[in-house]
Parts: sequence; C-alpha cells; structure tokens
Amino acid sequence: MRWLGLDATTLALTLLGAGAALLLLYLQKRPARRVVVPALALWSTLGDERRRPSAWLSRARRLVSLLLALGIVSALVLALGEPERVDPAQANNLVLLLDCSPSMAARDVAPSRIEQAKTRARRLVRQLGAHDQAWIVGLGDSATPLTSRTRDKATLLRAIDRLSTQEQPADLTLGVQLALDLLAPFARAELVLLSDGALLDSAGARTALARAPKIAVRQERVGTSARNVAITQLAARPYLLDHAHREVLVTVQNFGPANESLRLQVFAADVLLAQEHIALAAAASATRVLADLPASDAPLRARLELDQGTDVLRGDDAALMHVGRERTTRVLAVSADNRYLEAALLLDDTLEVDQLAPAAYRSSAGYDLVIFDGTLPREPPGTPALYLGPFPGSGSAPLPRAPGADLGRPFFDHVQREHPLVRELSLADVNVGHATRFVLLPSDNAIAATADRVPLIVEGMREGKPFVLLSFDLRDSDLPLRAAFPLFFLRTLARLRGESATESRVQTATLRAESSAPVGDLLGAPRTAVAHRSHTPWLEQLWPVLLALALLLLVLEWFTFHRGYTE
Amino acid sequence: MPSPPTAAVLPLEPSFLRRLESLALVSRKLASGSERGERKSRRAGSGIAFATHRAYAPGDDIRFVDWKVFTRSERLYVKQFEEERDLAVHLLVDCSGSMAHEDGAKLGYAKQLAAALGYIALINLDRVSVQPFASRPLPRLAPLRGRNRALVLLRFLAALEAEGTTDLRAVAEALAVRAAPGSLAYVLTDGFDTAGLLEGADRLRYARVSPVVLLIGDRREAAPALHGELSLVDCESGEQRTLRVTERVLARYRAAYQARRSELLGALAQRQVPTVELSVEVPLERAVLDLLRRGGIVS
Repeated sequence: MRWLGLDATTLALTLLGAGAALLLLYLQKRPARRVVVPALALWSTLGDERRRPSAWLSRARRLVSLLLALGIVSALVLALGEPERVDPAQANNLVLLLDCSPSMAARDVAPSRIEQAKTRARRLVRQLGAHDQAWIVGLGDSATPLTSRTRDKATLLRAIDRLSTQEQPADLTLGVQLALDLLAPFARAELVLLSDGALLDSAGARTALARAPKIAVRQERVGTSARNVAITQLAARPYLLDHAHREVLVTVQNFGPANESLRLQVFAADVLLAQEHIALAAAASATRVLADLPASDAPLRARLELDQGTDVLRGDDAALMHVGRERTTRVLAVSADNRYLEAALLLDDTLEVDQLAPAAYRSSAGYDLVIFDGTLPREPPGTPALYLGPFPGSGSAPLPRAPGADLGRPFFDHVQREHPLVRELSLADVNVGHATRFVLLPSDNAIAATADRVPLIVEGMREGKPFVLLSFDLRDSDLPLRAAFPLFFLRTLARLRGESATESRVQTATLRAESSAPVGDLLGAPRTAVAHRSHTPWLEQLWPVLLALALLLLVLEWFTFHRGYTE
Repeated sequence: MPSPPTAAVLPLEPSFLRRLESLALVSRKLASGSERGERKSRRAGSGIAFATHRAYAPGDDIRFVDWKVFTRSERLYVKQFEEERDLAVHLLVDCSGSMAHEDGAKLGYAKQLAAALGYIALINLDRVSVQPFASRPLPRLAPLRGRNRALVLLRFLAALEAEGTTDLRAVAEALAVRAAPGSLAYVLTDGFDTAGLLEGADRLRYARVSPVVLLIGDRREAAPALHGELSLVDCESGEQRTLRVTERVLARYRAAYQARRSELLGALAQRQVPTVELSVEVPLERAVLDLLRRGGIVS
C-alpha cells in the first residue's frame, strides 16, 4: 500500500480530528425541536410513544448511527490519502534530470520553461509512493546531483527550488551517464528528463542509453514554440598595422523550423557601428565579417532583431564583448645597431622601446619584454625574451649549444605551418648564411628546423617566462626583406607578451529552443515508465473504492435513520 | 376634534362582490322570519302567490273573499297567499387556536368565506348574524339586514381573533335556544373537534335550525413536513408530547388524518348535514362560485 495523496501523519491527524468532532456531536444531547400542531390528538393516536425502545436498545441504535458516521468519515479521509496497493519490493527509483541550459530561460510558456519544468518535477515528487526514492540532478555543462537517493519529499522539493538556468550549454551525455550510474543497481528504475528537447541529438546519450535497456526513460517536455534565432559567435580582432580600426566577426543561427528575416546590429557602447539585414533559412547559420569598424575601449555589443514577430528566447539575441584598451608594452632592445630590428619595432605603436648597447645591459627589470640581438645576458632575464643571432661564446643562452661548428646555408625545411607564429607565412625560400646549432630541451618546440632537424626558430619556457629564439642573424639572412617578416615579428612579440595576435574571440552559448525529435527516438523504441501514477491500473487505486464505501454507508445511515432503526 | 380610528374592514375584491350579488343562499326549509323578505314562507298572508282557500270568518278582510267561488257555491271563502318572509342566517365562525395554526390561514379563510356568505344573505334581504366561538360563544354580531349593513359585517369579521380550545356544543346550545326554526347555521371550522361538531349539529337540527358545515383544511396540516425528534405542542391546549417523526410515522399520520376526515364527513352525511370540504389553497372565488355552488350551498 502506498499513499499518493496526503501523507500518513496528515491523514491520521485529520481522521483523529474528524472522529473527535463527530463523537462530540453525538455526545451532545440536543433538545427535541418544538413544533406546534393543530391537533395533538391525531399524533397521539399513532402509538409511536407506546413503543419506546428500552434504554439499551436506544443506546445500541445511537451507537450504530455513530459507527456508521465514523465509518463514512474514515472512508472519506482515507480516500484523501489516495491509497494504492503496492508491493514494497516493487518500489521505484527515479532520477529527475532537469535541463538547466540557457534555452530553458525561454518564456514561450509562463512563467518560463525552467519554472514549468520545476513545477512538473514537484508534481512527480509529490506522486512518489511511500517506498519510492529519487534523486534530483541539475543538468548544465556538468551534471550535478542536488540530492542523494531519498524518499524525503521535502528534501527533493527544496533541491528543485534551488535550480536555475546556467550560461553554458547542457551536456546530455554527462547527465544520462550519471543517471544510469545512479540507477544501475536497482531493478525498478526510471530516468525522467525534464527538458525543452534541445538535448536530444546527443549521440553520446543515445549510446549510453542503449547500453542500459532495463532502465525506463521518459521525457517531460516543456516549451511550445521553436522560433529562435541566436548569435552563436562574436569575435573581434585589430588590424596589425591599423590599431584605429578592427574587424568583427558575427555568426547567427536560426534554430526554428521556419525561414527568418532579421537585422543584425553592432554597437560600441550605444553607438551603432554597423547594421545588416540577414535572411536565414530554417536551421541555417550565417557568418558576417564586418570590416573597418572604429576601434574603441567601449564594450562591443551585437544584437539581433526579427523583422516580424518575437523570439521565444531573448537571452541569445545579444552578445557582449569586452575588448579593452590596447596595452602598451615596454620593450628593451639590447642591440648594437640593427636597422631591421629597429624598423620592425616601429610597426607597432603600442610598443615603448628602449635600446641599450650590449655592454650597458644589466637587468630587464621594469620591462615587459627584452630582445637580445647578437648578445646574451650573463644570467637568464626575468622577463619574456626574444633571442636573435649571432650568439657570442659567453653568456646565458636559453638552449645549450650543440657540439660542432655553425651550420652553413641552412634552409627552412620543417616548418609547423599551423603554429600561430608562422601560420600562412612563406618561409621555405628564406636564405640564411649561418645558424648556430642548439640542442632542444624536452619542453622546447622547434617551430622551424632544417632537414637535419637543426632548430632555426625555437620557443619554450624558462623559469616560467616564454622565449623565442632565432638561431641565425637577421642581417645574415634575407628574412627581413620578406613580406612575412613584419607579421612574424609582431606575432612573436604579441605571443611573448601573452596575447593572441591573430584574433580575440568570444563564443556565446549555442542555444536551441526546441527539437522536433521525440525522446523515443533516442532509444529506437519507447520504454515503459514505472513510477508515474498515470500508469497505475485503475483497480490498484483504492480511493474510488473508499469513496463508494462512504456513499454506501451514507445511504445505509439514511435508510436506517428514516426507518427508525437508528437514532 | 380628532376622528375616531377607523376599524379595519375585511378586504374583498369589488369584482368578487359583484359576482356574489347574483347568488343566493340555498335553504331547504321554508323561511319563517318575522320580517317580510324574498323567501317563501309557510305563513299565508299578503304575498302575491296564491296559496289556498279557507272559510270566511268574521273579521276577515272582505277584499280577500273569492267572489267567483261564492257565485258557484254560495259560500264565502277567502283566498290565502304565500307570504314572503326573510331567512335568518347564522354564521358560526370557529375562532379556536387551531384556526390560527400555520399563520392563521384557516381563520383568515373562514372570515373571508363568512363575509362572502353574509354578503350574499344581505343582498337577498336575509337576516345575518355572526357568532364566533371557541370553547364558548364569543361576543356575537346582532342580526343585520340589508345591503347597506355589509360594512358592519366586514368590520366585525376583520376584528375576529383566534384563541382557546374548540367546543361547538356550547355555541349550538345557545343558538338553538335563540334561533328561529328554519334558519340557517353555517359552521365554518377546521373540524378537529369532531365530537363537538357532530353533537352541535345534532342540537341545531333538533331545534329545526339547518346546519351547513364548511370544513376548512390546510394541506400543510394534512401532510406536514416534519422529521426527527420533535416536541409536539397542541396549539389549543398547550399539551406536549415528544415524538420521533419518521417517514413511517408521517405516513401513519396522513392516514389517520384522512380517516378522521372521512369519518367526520360520513357522520355528517348520515345526519343529512350539507358539508363542503374546502382548503386554504383553493382561491376564495373558486370556493364560493364553484365548490359551494356544486355543494348546493349557494345557487
């Protein structure tokens, strides 16, 4: 037996109170109602008074009436508890997995999808039987159990109250895997997913569920509309040679089933920088690169607006990006006289360059970056450093020298073409006169090397500070004359100061309002739920029986009272 | 000088009164009133309708000598005519406590019925008196005659109130002594005093007064909507009796009520006392114009 309605304590208190009130009423000796009749003699001839029952019979009649009334009240109160026949061994174990992804903030249903999901979860919790146990799991970018396995409904309800949407997309695979791990030891187990359906294309979840065929899975779907467009990417990057302007990349996606026409706007603070109309087919995305936008310190904001109608999820219609002011970098160039180097340092107006003769160098303190051109410090600098050949015999080089003479006429035979410093740069035909042989440490990376793996460009970390080393003298090569040189040089400086020279990208959460795929498709075939009351056969519910019993007793009481069998 | 307060008048619709003017009370006996009226009487006198001849006696008015008979028989006979006399109508209104039961509906009905009958009698130049009674005869209205006394009748009836127990014997005894033979006595009662009613009717009959019983009932009394443990109080005697009223008891009550009514009607019929059973639910106009006419009370 389990109780789906009022709990046992409430039922007992209600029954006690109602029974006491009834008993009190019966104990009261109500005086007979006074009625004036025109001819009492007529009533006297009926002879009823002459057949007054004996005292014990009268008491028995009153007792029967009281017992009947108590029976009626008991049946009604017990019906409030909605008892259901159930075998304790057949108790259910339930995982309520609530989707907390950003799409659950959509307000296409009142007050929102997440609130509706919580309402349904509360209803499921209240319907749990006395022996049923459940977990509450919030599903965001990670799956977080908010309760242990418990039959305490108050605990479960409090956990549901704590749930709210998150900024990151939900990972159904994690949630399903966690739920399956929790439910694995139990024979009667069910996973209930309360979601707007945006998670159902998770292949990982399908695979996990396919491995647990005995666990029932059900989805309580929330949300009605699928009309949603979103900004899925917002990125900005400065021009290397023009810091007064920047380039902005925006990707928009239509998650709805219908074609949409929308307007994309980009603002710096409240100043409109660019605006574009975009037509998006259903489930399509589009990327726009907005060139030559004025650069400023104000946050960059992109906004979408549908030409007609409203978007169910307004949260993903805007994206914000803090670009910040271009930071000034203090550079110490320890160089005797290198026109190529000096010219390259002039390319970036955010660099504050001080130049020192090698003999005058003592320390790099106070600088963000130091360049050793044809010289080596006596001890490793405490700042990021760029080492340019030739390298003197003394001094602290970041790499140990290899035995043997310098390498003559080395070529860039092995280049890591996807490395940020040399990506899309052509170095294959650069001519170099001589290069110093160095031995790489295990943590070092040879970005470019000769056919014999003699490193030409090396990056690594020393004492927590990055360094880049060119094993040859710029003046002994034609690299400064190549178009690739300024880009390579500026990328190197940006990388050493901890910036991405290529782009600064902000990716917004990928949101989707609704999926058309039914949950049954996750598994190939629907599974049977085990813990929901709607699946309980009618005959297993006892409240209709109790109600019928109460009515029967009421009829019986009415009949006996009117026939004079009870008092 | 302030005018004395006007006594209340029992309200009757003018249209109803106009219809009453075409009616007359039915008397099965010849009138024996002391005044000239519009009813046949046994008295031979100065009427219009010829009655009989009798031998002339000294002192007879020679204008009534039938000379045609004299020429044939050479004996003097005088013609005698039926003298039209008035009819004495007594309205005995039951004013006991039982008539005031259920908001006094029965008493009100009886008063209106008495007013209608009295008005009919006054219109027909009969003498009307009203004798209310309870356990004893109450102050009565002296005989009235003529249409112009109708207001007095209505005022008297309007002032009647119910109280006390019922005893028709006493009032019948008093009336039998006072009433002229051949007069009509309409008894308006609810009939709960069965024995008194029968004995009173007998007493009136012995005094050659024609009793007519109008039994006024109320459906709420015939089938009361009572239930449960009740302390029943007699409205006349104040006697109490506790009784648990169930459907079964109610059924027995209804059967007893009907049995007593049937027994009373049978006894009255056996005494050849015209009786009409009325109910307060029946409109007064229908009661007078239809039921009383069918019952031979008015014509």
